[in-house]
Amino acid sequence: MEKMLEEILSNAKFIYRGAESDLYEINFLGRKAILKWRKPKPYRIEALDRYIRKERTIREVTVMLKLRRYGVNVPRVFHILIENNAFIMEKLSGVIVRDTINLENYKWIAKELGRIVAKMHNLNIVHGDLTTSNVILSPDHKLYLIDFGLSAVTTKIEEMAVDLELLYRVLESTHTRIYNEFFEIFKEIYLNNFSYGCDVLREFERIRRMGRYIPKEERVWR
Amino acid sequence: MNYIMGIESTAHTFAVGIVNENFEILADIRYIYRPRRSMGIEPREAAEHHSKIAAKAVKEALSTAKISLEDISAIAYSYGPGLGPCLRIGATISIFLAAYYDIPLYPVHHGLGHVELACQLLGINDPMVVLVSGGHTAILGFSEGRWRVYGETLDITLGNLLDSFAREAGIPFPGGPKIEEIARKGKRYIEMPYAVKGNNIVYSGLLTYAIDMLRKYPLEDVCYSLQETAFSALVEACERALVQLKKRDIIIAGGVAPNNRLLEMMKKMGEQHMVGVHRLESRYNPDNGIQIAIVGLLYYKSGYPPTEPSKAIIKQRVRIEREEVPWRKC
Repeated sequence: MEKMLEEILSNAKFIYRGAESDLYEINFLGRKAILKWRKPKPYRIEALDRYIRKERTIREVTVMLKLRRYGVNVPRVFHILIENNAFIMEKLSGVIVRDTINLENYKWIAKELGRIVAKMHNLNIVHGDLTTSNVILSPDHKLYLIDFGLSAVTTKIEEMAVDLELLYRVLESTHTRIYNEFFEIFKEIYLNNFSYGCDVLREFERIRRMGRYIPKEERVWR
Repeated sequence: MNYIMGIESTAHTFAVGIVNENFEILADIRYIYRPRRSMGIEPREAAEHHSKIAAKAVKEALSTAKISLEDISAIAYSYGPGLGPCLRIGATISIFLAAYYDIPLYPVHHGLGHVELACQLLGINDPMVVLVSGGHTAILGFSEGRWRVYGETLDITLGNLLDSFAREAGIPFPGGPKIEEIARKGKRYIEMPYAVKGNNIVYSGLLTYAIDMLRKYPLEDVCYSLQETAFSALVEACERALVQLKKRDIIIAGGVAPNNRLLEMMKKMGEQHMVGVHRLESRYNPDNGIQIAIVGLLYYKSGYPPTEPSKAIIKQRVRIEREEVPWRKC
């Protein structure tokens, strides 16, 4: 198994270093593909590191397969190198939404994202790291979700609300000018497409006020 | 020459710092309230301690700096976040001095003090700041006029986690450094709840679990596992925020910053992204008066309007995002 990763890496082109993993562009059986490899983290002790990497790789692949099966746009998984905490998936062309979002297209992106997230939550899947950097706009004008390393299969309303909370925070801090309207549109579509949407939004309002040093009148806990 | 006095009294430290307009530190007087054995800070007692030594501390600071109150150009005090009774002491003294001697008064956010002091002394202009203390565990970056929070704890802080654990384990105050010392002897890693949610972290489950493990495993191993788990989660959250923010430097600030294991882990993470990891010398990491004075100086220099003594207030809860930062552009 070790050998296989080495062999793949010898022909691979390094393209991106994310927070958790490195991405390489490779040729997989004649197709352009991406190798996502969760490298050991030198700052974590080995026991903890091994456990976290294994668990996340397995979960990521499982979730992607399930989403794909139910028609949510995610990259296709080609192959798993379980011993190395790596897997190979389809290479998407397109741009990251964070870099491409602007005053003209944000309304459409908000609607489309609302629909996709509602569908994902309907399947009892939460993304866990739902930021605008993890959404790709493809050339044929579709949105793809990527990076399911922190995803989970759950029916908990709270965890779904955490997805929305993270999205809201990222919009607020990175897309300062449009975040309010973006989120309003997103919310409307999300509510229309997910029957527990109201509950999730109520929970969202609650956890949004969970950060530290929120003034008393806005707080939820005593 | 302009001199700025900073008065800090958010929690267990009552401190007075004096800086001149060239950011030179002239006086740094601190008095620390020690809680009774195996107890946390009792806000009322801490406030009593502060009120008893406040006048002495101000006088000492002035004589160390070799100036008199008439030479002071502005007074800054920490108006929050912190413990109400403690905040009130620092605020009362500052308001009195400002009103009596007719000195401009600036209320300063305590966390902003940690952040700006680190930026000034290290000479780093646009870092990602990891503020870890008893009151904050937040990943900060400057954007569009404010220090924004890119990740934080959703319940208790890192300092709070270590202190509370130390109390339960019978480790005397201050708990953090002792835990670090004991953890160095730990060998076996006990699996503990590791909770990262996006850029945010959750610590309360870890605290309960670690306290529980005290009954089953030796203290060294529990301390070791607690530190490893808590810091790994924090560093992972930082790594995520870093990739998102694309800053060139990381500063660790606040009361937990002196922990060498945390620095080591952060450095290893930084290396992979070719980012420098910095922290202040240990004496400037805990709460001090200099951090308040520095922010006061920055307000003063940028011509920010001072607060009327009659309108000066304290706030137990206030987020760093609400603070205006007039001396930083963009």
